[in-house]
Amino acid sequence: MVIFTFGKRLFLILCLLKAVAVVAQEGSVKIITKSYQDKQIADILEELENYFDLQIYYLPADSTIIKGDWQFEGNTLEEVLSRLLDRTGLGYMAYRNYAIVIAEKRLLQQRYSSDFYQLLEQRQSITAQSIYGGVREITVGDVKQMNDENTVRIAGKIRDSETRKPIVGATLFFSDLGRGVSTDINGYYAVNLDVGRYDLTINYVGYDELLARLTVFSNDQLDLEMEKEAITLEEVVVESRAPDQNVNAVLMGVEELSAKSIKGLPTFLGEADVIKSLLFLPGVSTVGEGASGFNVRGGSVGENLILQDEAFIFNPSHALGFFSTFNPDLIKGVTLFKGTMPAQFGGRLSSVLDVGIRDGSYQKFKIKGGLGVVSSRISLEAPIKKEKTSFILGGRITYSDWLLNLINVPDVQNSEVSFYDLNARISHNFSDKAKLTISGYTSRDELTFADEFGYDYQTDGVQINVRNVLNPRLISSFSAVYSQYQSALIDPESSESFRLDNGISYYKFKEQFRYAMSEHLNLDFGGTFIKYELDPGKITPVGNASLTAEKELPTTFAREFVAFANGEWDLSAKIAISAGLRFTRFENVGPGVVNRYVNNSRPEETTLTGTENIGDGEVIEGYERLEPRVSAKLMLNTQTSLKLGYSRTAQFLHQISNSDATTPIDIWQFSNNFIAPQKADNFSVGLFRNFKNNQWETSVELYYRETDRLVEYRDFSDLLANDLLETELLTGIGKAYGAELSIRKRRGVVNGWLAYTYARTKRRVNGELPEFTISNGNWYRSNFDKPHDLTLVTNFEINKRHKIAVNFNYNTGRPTTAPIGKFGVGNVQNIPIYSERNALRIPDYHRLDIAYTLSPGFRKDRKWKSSWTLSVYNLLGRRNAFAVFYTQPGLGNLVANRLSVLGSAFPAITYNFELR
Amino acid sequence: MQLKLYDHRFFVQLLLLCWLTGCIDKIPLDTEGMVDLLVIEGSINNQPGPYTITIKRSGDFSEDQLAIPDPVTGAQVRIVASTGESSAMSEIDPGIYQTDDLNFRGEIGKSYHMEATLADGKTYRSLAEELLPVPPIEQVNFGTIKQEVLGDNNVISEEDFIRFSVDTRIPDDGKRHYLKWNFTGEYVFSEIGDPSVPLKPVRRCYVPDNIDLNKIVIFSGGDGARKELTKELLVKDLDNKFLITYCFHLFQQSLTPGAYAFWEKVEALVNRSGSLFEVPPGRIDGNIINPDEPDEEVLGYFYATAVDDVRFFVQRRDIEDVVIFNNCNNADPELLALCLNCLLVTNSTLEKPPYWED
Repeated sequence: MVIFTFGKRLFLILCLLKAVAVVAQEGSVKIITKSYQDKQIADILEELENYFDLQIYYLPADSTIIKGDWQFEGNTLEEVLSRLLDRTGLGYMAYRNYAIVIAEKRLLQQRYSSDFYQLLEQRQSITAQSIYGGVREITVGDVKQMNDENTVRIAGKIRDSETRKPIVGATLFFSDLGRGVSTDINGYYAVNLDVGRYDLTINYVGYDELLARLTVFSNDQLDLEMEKEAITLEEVVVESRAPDQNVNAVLMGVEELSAKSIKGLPTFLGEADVIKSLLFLPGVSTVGEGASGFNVRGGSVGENLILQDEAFIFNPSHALGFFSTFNPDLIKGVTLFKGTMPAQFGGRLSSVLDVGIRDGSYQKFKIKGGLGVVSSRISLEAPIKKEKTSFILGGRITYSDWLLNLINVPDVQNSEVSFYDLNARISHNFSDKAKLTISGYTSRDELTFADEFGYDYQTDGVQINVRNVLNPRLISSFSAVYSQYQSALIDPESSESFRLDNGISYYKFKEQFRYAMSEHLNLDFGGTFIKYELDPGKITPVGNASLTAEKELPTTFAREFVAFANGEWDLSAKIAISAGLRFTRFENVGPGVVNRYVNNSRPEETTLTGTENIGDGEVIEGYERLEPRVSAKLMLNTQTSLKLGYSRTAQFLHQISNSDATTPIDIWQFSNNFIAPQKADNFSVGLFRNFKNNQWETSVELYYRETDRLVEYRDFSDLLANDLLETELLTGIGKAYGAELSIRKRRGVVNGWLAYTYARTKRRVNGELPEFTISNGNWYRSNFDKPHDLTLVTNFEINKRHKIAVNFNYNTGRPTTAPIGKFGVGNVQNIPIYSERNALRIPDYHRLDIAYTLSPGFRKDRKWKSSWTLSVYNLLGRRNAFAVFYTQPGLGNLVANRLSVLGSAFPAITYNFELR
Repeated sequence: MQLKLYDHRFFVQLLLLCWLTGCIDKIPLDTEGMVDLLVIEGSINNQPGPYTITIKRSGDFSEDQLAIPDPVTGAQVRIVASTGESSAMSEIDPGIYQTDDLNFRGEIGKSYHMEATLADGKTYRSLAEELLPVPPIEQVNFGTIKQEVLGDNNVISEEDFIRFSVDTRIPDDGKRHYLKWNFTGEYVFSEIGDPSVPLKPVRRCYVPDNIDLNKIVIFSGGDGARKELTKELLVKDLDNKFLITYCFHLFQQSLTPGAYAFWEKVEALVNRSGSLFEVPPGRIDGNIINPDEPDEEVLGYFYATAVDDVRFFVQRRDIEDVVIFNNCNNADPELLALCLNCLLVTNSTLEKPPYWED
């Protein structure tokens, strides 16, 4: 048996004893007809690779640059190779069904001494490393120890390079085989392999991916150490995932972003931003630049469950939506479930955004930070007791007022935008098996526009998480959360000056177990209890002269009980299933005041008969919902899979909004005796295929969602501090469907993705009377119905120091309601007659961004690391419309105005640093 | 031309981002798919008639704003009281109909509706509107304020404005009182001496000032409790109309809840700013129907109202601390012609109105 590698390609195995002399394509035999004149063998081999869709490995040698004339007519690959290699002294052989190995005939036919292999190994290593820095070459076992069975057992331990502690749950993935193993509770793994060469990728969250090229001869122990992720602030990679996750994961529509990937995208004013990064993914969109929140597969902003660890984030936006509230330096990772969400998640119809915060360093003190155009951030982390207890503290603050002062508009100069956020976390490991974390979070925004109006909103939260490995198969996670979101709209100066406050707070307790029943079946199960308190609105006059009367709507309360179980089951190497069930009982409870209306009539101001006081703890209305979730994966071959998913989701807490973009004071409302829970049935199917050793990932996903009991607002509805809110709301149905096509290149000097999405989302509200109907009861477009969306994200990693990222995005203009005529009444002329809801569209959108990052190289022992990022957002300066609106200047005629929120190119520079 | 910056919602975007270049620009109007609907509007009140109803077609919004598009002529129109009496109306101008019976007068407590039969035989009517009482105007207030304005050349300057407001007392009768205010202005325009005709006397003209065009000032009715209400009506630049005497004529009107809802929607549509956070627009339902074809969409409103009115005079001495430039002192030839002959000013008269106070 001979094993060696040649320079041109990554790897190869020659199993001479099992050599197959004929290359056959699956199915019919492919033939070639072509003539070559004065052409090198090497060039022809390259053509053959493409033509026959296989990989040819050979060592560039004198003989391969031989030129000659060849004529092929209906020849098979076998015949072509024989003729090409004739008289060169080279032979060939097939490797599996997709590679050809060309080597000297004597190598293909003879055994050699171990010295030869060693020499060969050295040659390969030099070549390999010069091309692929960072990939370790590892020889496992000894050629002399090779046995006839050809099967080798490798076992070992994966450890942290600094602490030498075992890493539990690290994944070792052999891309050639399309399979992998995980380390157990002690960091051990074991795997059986054939003699040969393998690309191995080892991953664990928070650690640098470890890439190794194994040459496996015989049984051996292989211990490896992983290095903590050295978070540089500009790289864009999707991390903590197996190389073939695209194909191999059971769930589809799951997008994972690491802190690295988020920090590298060219962003507005250079601010690394979780939510803006999501917008580059297929199926994720927004109503416009700078708008708060995001839309996933035709769902509204309020249909996304946003979690920071276990805490709900009701408003993830700073500065009304230009930035998001997650501090990129403290993020462990971000997962977005666009399609079928596992049963442990629920309470929202369309998606889950799960943002994890990381622990502080257990080894040494570190400072990290960044100075940007409008905001800066800093984080400190250190062990309190080395390797046992650590803390991390991170904050961001804005200083954008200087920007406002550049605007030569007095009201803008008199305005203020300020925000900050602060995260703190203490983590303590009682043992290898038990860990406690306590985290706190606060985020505050204050905006004032001259004397005209202001927003003031704030999120605060604290959570305790206890993770306990009860036995090697059973892990328990308990969390307790308290959090609140409060927002205010302030009108400080007018004759009716006021402050309107609303808010929501909750206690949440969750226990989740993970039980590894077998190598093939993992079970997650547990329960959640949540107690909500909602202040729907309080108006207080501002100043003594205000004519506004004080008004406070009574606080409302609700409870939510959830039980869930979700299993992931590998039925065979080809079929895997994830299935779960979620049960929720939601209760709107007293104390409270409930409006009563004439029996069986729609809530209207005119049908109001009075109010009823409800006692403490008394159930006003209760709902029970059962939500099945199921996904299945069928491997069609090692590179291709077909996936199916279905989920039912229910939503008991509704974000009520009547504006194009959500605002900080958009109220949340419980399901109650007037508003039933919203319900959605989500179907999806996808085809996934990887190429070139998982370097390329492609996918096509189709989805369809049907929504029932959608909450819509009536024309001209006033939702603020409205004690008859139900009279302003209508109930409808919705549907969303689309296709997402994506091509992604994972590695290489040039990497990135191209995604195209076709997506539609429509609604229908057909009431008994015209005033309870929208658009005459016909289907109409949602605010965020944007059929075509094309995204290109490209990274040029010239080397570790220089990186360039270029992004392009195109999408259809969003729907709008526009004037289609005018009329006059009394002293008021030119009253526009508006179209049916969302009947027209604003112009299409496109944008090109570019960012260049200069890094210090990647020496891990460097104490002070810094980098500069220069970026230009909207390089072409396109005046994309956020909205088209109509005004009447003075007494003139109606004018169509295009509002371009970011209507020019925005350059920015950011300095990032790290002391460790 | 100066732009006054008062609409805060309009500038919420500027606030954050439009800091390098202007971020709002005009784009061509898309005039495809325009609608053509019948519009009927008018009112009756408790002051002496005649009362007016206008019938026209809705327009293409690229048309001139003040022209009444496509008047509907030759209609038979009348106003009918709930007690049975009615008055027929005559067409005094194309599409404009006026009550014939000068003794026909709106009365508080009665309901009124209008009926129209068009030349093509189609009939339309409004829903009945009750003529509700209106609380009296207690007092008209004014004050001068300074505001920053942005000039043509992007220079910010501070200028003087006058602000009018009204005090009224909402009765403590447990009912909601919906109110609407209309107002007009009138000012004295004084000629300047003509150097070429030394002995020519300098005359004063009285000129109406159309100040409430497109202004909608309404009150939402309160909560039925007694309330001292002060409502801001108008902020107006202090120009040479205030050099001598300015008369502010205020009409305080009662509205039904339906009429209030109508005007509230009109206000929402007319004062749209295009902000990210604005309530999206919708269709305005009026109270005019075609009884034979209930699905026909007809625009407009016929409402009944009680009116209380007050004239309020602002004399130069009341605002003497404000510098007001007389444009005639440095006038271009066009303006100079008016300054030499004030009767050339539109709708002006030399006759001092009987109510005028100096």
